[in-house]
Amino acid sequence: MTVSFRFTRGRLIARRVLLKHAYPAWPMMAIDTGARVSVVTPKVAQELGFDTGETEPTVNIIGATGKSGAALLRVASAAIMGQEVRNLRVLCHPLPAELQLDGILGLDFLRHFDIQIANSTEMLTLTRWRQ
Amino acid sequence: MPEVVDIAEESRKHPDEWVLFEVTEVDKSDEPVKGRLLCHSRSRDEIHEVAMRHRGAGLGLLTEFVGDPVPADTYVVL
Repeated sequence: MTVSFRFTRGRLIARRVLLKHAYPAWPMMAIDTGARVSVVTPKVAQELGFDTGETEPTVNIIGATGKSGAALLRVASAAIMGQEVRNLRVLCHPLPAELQLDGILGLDFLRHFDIQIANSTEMLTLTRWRQ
Repeated sequence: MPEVVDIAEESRKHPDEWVLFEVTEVDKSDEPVKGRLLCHSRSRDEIHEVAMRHRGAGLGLLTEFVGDPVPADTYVVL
């Protein structure tokens, strides 16, 4: 199964992602092949139905700009254009407000797909190879 | 209750703002197509307050910023 979509931002590859937990939501997330785990902001976690106590930091994270702590959560599923990955772990951590993003979609989700990024047409294609 | 509108069309009316929709219709790929605009604001905090009151409404809540907020002279390293 293959789905394609156009990049929605000039300087980041971002996409609406359907996240399902207690409540479903479509936050805008950056697609990041360098992130081992996906990330949602505490606001999105609460909008999905997680309690504020569940979003307290419990694990360490390392990024390009340093170390921090984050909560490790699990959502029932994440999906782009119907391509769903169930029982996905996500980190809960704030993102800089200037990014105007609600999350990062990392390799936990992306590893289920072969990915083609066509910069000439600004299209990204996901081809499922793994259930 | 706000009327059901085309999400793409309505979003274009609010450049450089966050929009919050209660999704009422998706296409065959589960992509949101129509919904009710619950809030538009430059503040994600304001969007969050409204979203928390509408969790579980319709098919779900769609939250996104309309436009590209990253200035041309700023480089994002995730």
